[in-house]
Amino acid sequence: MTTSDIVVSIAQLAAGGTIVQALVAVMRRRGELRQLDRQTESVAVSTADQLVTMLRRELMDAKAEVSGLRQDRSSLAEQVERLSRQVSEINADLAEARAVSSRLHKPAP
Amino acid sequence: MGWRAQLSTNPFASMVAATAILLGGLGMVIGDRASRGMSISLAGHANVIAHLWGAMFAVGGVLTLFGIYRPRLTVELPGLYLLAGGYGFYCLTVLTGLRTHGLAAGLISGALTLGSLLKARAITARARHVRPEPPVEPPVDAPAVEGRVPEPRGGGAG
Repeated sequence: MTTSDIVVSIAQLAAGGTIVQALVAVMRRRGELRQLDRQTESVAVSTADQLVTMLRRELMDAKAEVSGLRQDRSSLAEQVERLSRQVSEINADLAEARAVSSRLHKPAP
Repeated sequence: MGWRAQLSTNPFASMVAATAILLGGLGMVIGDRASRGMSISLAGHANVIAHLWGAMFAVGGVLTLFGIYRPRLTVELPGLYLLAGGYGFYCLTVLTGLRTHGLAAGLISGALTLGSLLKARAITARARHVRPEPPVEPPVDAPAVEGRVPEPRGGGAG
């Protein structure tokens, strides 16, 4: 029997052994493996659930922020309107004052 | 998880299993002509053994791929052991048959054997330390079932 014969026998034994090992490994720990599968699935489901909750919370925060900003914008627009009204009143006052002052400084005929 | 996500998570395992299906299928169909090293080292009864090896290898690849993409560890674990056996057999026969000419193929398949065995051992270790499941609670309507009024006998149509 040469060395290569021995190696080939070892290879055949190894291949056969792994078939037996495949069967034994599953038979011995079938319950645990199934439980592991279930746990992996439940972890995936709970992770997706957490992600959805987080995204929903972020969406609500963003909506609240948008409504706050909208309120700010409307109050600022109101303020601008009020200021422009004041500016036009002041302009009118200024024109009136100019007219009065030009009448007062008009040289006597 | 979709198959694209699984492929990007397990690229090497997927390719190892797919290669095993391809090589194993070739060995199963055309026998020892699939590998020169195998036909030299298994002189005499090479063909039968090559067919058997191909079948085992292809089955291992299919089980591993199914186990990865399903995902089911109960299927992946035997697939990994079959892959380890197939790659190990190929490694030893190619090194014996072709000597130094089979060094590249032999080393690669030997490394894949080790990888498959390591992954199978990791899965077994995870299964050994798995948390015990909480006891299943009885359904809410269990008392109602217990307290159900038995139906009158002989009243039904049978």
